[in-house]
Amino acid sequence: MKLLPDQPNRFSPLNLILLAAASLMLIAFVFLPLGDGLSGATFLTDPSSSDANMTPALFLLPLAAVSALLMAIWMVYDPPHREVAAFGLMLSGLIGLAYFAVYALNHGSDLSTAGQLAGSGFVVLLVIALVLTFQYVLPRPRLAAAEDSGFMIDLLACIFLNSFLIVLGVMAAAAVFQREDFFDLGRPVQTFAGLVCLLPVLFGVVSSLLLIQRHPDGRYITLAAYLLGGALSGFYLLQLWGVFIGIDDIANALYQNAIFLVGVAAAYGLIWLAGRLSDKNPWQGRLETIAGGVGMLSLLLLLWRGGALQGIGSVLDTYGDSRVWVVTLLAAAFVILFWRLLHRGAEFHETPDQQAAWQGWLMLAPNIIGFLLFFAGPLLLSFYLSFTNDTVGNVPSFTGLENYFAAFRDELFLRSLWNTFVFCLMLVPLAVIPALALSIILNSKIPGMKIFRAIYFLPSVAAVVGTALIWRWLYDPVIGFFNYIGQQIVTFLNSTFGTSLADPNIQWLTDGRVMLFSIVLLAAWQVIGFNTVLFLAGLQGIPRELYEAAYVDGAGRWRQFLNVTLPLLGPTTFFVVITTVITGLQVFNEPYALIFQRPMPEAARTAVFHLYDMGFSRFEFGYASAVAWILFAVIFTVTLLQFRINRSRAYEG
Amino acid sequence: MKKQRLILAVLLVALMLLPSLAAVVNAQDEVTLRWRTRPDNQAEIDVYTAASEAIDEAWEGVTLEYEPGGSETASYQDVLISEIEAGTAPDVFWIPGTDVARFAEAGLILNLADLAAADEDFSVEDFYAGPMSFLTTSIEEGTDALWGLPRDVSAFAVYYNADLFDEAGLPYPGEGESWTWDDLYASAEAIRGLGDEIYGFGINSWWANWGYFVNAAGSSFFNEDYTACGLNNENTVVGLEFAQSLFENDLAIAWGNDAEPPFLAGTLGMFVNGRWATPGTLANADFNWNVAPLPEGPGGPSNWIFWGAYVVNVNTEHPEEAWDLVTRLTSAEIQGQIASLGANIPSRATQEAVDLFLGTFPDSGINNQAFIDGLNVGVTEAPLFNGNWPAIDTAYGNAITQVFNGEITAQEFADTICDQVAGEFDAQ
Repeated sequence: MKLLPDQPNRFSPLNLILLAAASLMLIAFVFLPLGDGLSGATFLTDPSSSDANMTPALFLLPLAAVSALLMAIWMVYDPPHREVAAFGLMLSGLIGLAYFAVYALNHGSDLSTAGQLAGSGFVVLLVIALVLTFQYVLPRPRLAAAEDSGFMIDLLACIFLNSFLIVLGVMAAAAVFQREDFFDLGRPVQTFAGLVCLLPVLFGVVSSLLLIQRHPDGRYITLAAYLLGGALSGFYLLQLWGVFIGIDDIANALYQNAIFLVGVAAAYGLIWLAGRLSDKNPWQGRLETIAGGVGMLSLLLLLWRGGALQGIGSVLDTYGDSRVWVVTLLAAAFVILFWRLLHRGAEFHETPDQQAAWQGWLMLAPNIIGFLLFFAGPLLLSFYLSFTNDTVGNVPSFTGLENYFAAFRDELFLRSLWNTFVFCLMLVPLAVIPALALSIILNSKIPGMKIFRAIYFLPSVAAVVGTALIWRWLYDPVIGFFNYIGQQIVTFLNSTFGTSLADPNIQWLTDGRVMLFSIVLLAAWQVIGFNTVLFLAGLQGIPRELYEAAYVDGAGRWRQFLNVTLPLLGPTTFFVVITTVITGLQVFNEPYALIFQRPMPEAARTAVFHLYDMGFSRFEFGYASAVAWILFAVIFTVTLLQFRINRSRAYEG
Repeated sequence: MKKQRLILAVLLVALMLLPSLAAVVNAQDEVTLRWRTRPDNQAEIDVYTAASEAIDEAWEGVTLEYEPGGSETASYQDVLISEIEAGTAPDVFWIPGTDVARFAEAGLILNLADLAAADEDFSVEDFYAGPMSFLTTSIEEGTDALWGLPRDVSAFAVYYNADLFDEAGLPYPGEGESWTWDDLYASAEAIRGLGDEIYGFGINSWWANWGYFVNAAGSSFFNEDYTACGLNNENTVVGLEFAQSLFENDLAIAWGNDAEPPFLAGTLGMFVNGRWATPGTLANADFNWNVAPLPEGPGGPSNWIFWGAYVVNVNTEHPEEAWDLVTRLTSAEIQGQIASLGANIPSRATQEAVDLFLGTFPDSGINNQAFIDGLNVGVTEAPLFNGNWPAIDTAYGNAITQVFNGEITAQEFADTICDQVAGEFDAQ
C-alpha cells in the first residue's frame, strides 16, 4: 500500500499527520515554554536572556519545522517529485535533531514538556521521511526527464531559504511586538514595523507555493525578494565586518601607498600601447600579459603595504561572532540562488517580453532599494512624527495638528521661511542668467574648451563645507579678498578722480542686511556649473539649420538669440529654474557652514536650518518633522505652480 | 546523482551547524563596551585610541571599542542624538557640560550614584568642585545623583601677538602695573593705530565670550539657583557697554566674524580663546605670541570653567563595567596621557594633575599658569536643570547681536531680555 495518493491536491492521512506535526513543532517552539519558563521567541529576541548565545542554534528548530511544512505541501501538490520533497523532509528532521543535540548539550535535562514533544516530533518526522524515501526515492533513482536534477536542487534550496525567511519574519515580528518601548517611537510605528516584518512570511509562503507549481510569478517574486535580501544582508555583513567605520582607514592606507598606483598607471599605458599595435603583431599579446602582471603586482603590493593582510585578519576575527556566520551564509544563499533562479527562465516558460521586463526591473533595483531604505521609510516616519510630541528619549504621543499650528505661531520659523523665499528670489537670477551666458560661451569650438567646461563644473562637485570655509576667508572683513578689492577700487577712484569715497568695508557675514546675499553668492557660485552643463546640453540640441535660416532672413546674433535660442531652450530653462528653486528652498549647508556665529543670526536662518535646529539642538523632533512637511508642501506647491504656468505658456505658444 | 544529493545535504547541515559552534565559542566571550568622545583632530584621536588600548589590555574580561565621533559633514552631537534615537549609541560617551541636564531629564543617561557609592576608590572631591556640583544635581527629590565624571576642564585666556605689542611699545597683557578693562582698551586702541588692517581685539561670537564681560562686571546669566534669567541689572549694562565700545570704536573685529584667522595671520593684537586653541596656534602662528589671564573687570577677575563629561548610556547592557570604564578614563594616568597633548586640562583637581598640565609644551614658553588662574576665578558653565538652554541661548544670542550691531542699547537689552526668555524656565 502506498502511503500517499498519486493524484495531486489530494490529502491522505499521512499528509495530514505531517502537516499537523510540523505545525505543532512551530507553535510549540514559538509560543510554548521551552525551558526556564521562556518561549523560543523570547530566546531569539531577548539578548539578555540566559540563552542569548544560543540564538543561532535556536533558529534551527523553527527553520526545520517550517521546511517540513513546505515539504509536506509539496508532496500534496507535486506527486511526480515526491522523492525531492521526501529528501527535504529528511533534511528537516536532521536539522531538528541537530538543534536538539546542541540544545541538550547546553541544557542537559532541563527541557520542558513542550521542548521534549518538539524533539520527539522530529524523530517521528525523520522516521516518516525514511519510510517515504524507501518507498519513493529508492525505486525511482532517476528524476523526470523534463526537469533536471539541478533544477530540483534549486527548488529545494529556495524552499529552505524561504523557510528561513518565514522564521526570520515571525521572529522579527515577535521581537518587535514584544519590545516594550520600541525605540521610543510609539505603538503605531511598532505595529507598522511588526507588520513589515511579517512581509517575508507572506512572501515565503506565497512564493514557495507558486514555485512548487512552477508558476512564473513565483520565480519573479523570489528573484525580487532574494535581490533585496542579498542587498540588505550584504550591507549588514559589511557593517559587521566594520567596513563602514573603517572607511577612513581604507582611505588612509590607499593615500599613504599611492605610489604603487604608478604601477597601475604603467599597466594602463602598456595596454594603451598594445591597442596601437596591429592584431598580428606578437608584441600585442605580450604587452597585454606584461600589463596584466604589472597591474596585478602593483595592486597586490598596494594591498599588502596598506595592511590588507591585517584587514583580512580583522574580518576573520569578526567570525567569532555567530551573527557574522549567519549573515554571511544568508548573503551567500541569496546571491547564489538569485543567480541560479535567474537562469531558470525556460523551466518557467518565460517569454522574451517577460525577460526584457525583469532585466529592466533589475537595472532599476539599486535605485528602488535605495529609495525604499533611505527615503520612503524615513519619510513615512517623519510624517507620523509630525503629528506627535516626539522628543529624544520619550515615547511620542499623538497631538494631532498641534505642531503645524505651532509652526505658524512661531515667529522664528516664519522669519526662516521668509528668508528662504528671499534667498530663492535672489538665487534664481544669479544662478540661471550667468549659467546661460556661460553655456553660450562654452558652446563655441575654441581649443581647450573641455578644460574650461570642467573648471566651471568643479564648484558643483566640491564639498560645501570645504568651499564655505574658503569663502569665509574671502568674506573676512580684515584679511578677506573681497574687502581688499573694494578698498583698492575706492583708493583708485579717489586718487584718480579726486573723489572722497569711503571704504565700504562690508561686513559680509555679520551685517544682517547683507548676510543672506553673501550666502546667495556662494550658493549661486556652486549651482552655476551644474546649470551651465544643462544649458549646454540644451544648446547642442538646437539644429544649426534654424540659425542658418534666421541668418538668411537677416537676423543678427542678438535676434537669433532672442528668437531661436531662447524659445528652443524653453524646456531646459524650465528644468533649470525648477531645480534651482527646489535647491534654494532646501538651502541648509551654505548658511550652516558659512556663518560662524552661533546661535545662527535670524537674518541667515533658513527653513531647513530651523528644522535642524529644532530637532537636533532642542530635541523637538515632532515639531521639526512638522516643519519639514510644511516645507515639502511649499516646495510641492511652488513646483506645481511652475508646471502650470509652463504648460499654459506652451499652449499659448 | 545520489552523490550530489549527499554532498548537498552534508553541506547544508554543516552550514546550518556552523553558527551553533560559533555560539558555543561566544558563550565564553568577553563583555564589549563601546565608548566615544569628541576629538578635535587626528592627534587627539591617536591619543584616545592609545588610551583605550591601554585600558583594554589591563582589563580582564572586557573588550573596548573606541569610536571617534562626528565627521566633516555630521557633527558629533548630531550623530550621537541620531544614534540615541535609533538605540545604537555607545555604552559610554562624552557630552558637553551644558548638555548634562537635558540628557539627564530626557532619561538618556544613567544615574551612577549607586554604582559610585559602592565604589570605594571613588571620591567626588578628586575632581573640580564646579562641574561636580552640576553632575551631582538630582532631578528627583530624595535621591542622590551622579550623571558622569568630567573628562577635562578648560578656561579662557588672552592670546596676544607679542610682536604687535612690541611695535606699539606696550607691556604684554598682565605684565604691566595692572591688567584691567581699561588696560585692555588702551592696548587695543594702541595696536589698532598700527595700521588699517590691524585690529586690537577679537572674540568669537558664542555665549561664553560676551558672557565673560557680563560676569566680570558682576552680573550673571542666571539667578543664584539657576531658575530664572539673571541679566536684568545694571552690571549687565556696564559689561556689555564696555564690550560694545570695543566694537563701536572699531578696535575689535566685528561681532560675528571668526577672529582666529586674523590672529593667525598676525593682524590681530589680542584674541580670547580657550586652551583648546593652543596646539593649533603653536602649529600655525609664525610670530611671537603668548597667553595672559583675562583682564579684571569692575566686578573682579572672571573666567569660565568649561567642561564636558563621560556619561553612561541608560540602555547599556553592562552598567557596572560602564561605570568602571568612566572611572578608568578619568584616572590620573589616562588624564596624564590626554593632557600631554596640551589641548585640555585634567579634570582632577590635584596638584599632581595641575603640575602635569603646567609641564606641557615646556620649550614654548607658553604661560600655562594663565589657564590655571582662569580656572580659579572661573564661573562653571552650567547645565540648566530648570530651563531650555538651547532656546535661551538663541534668545540671548540674537539680542546680543543686536546690541553689538548697534540696533539696541545695552540698557534695552538688560530691560527686556529676561521677559523674552521667561517662558523657557520651568518655574515660570
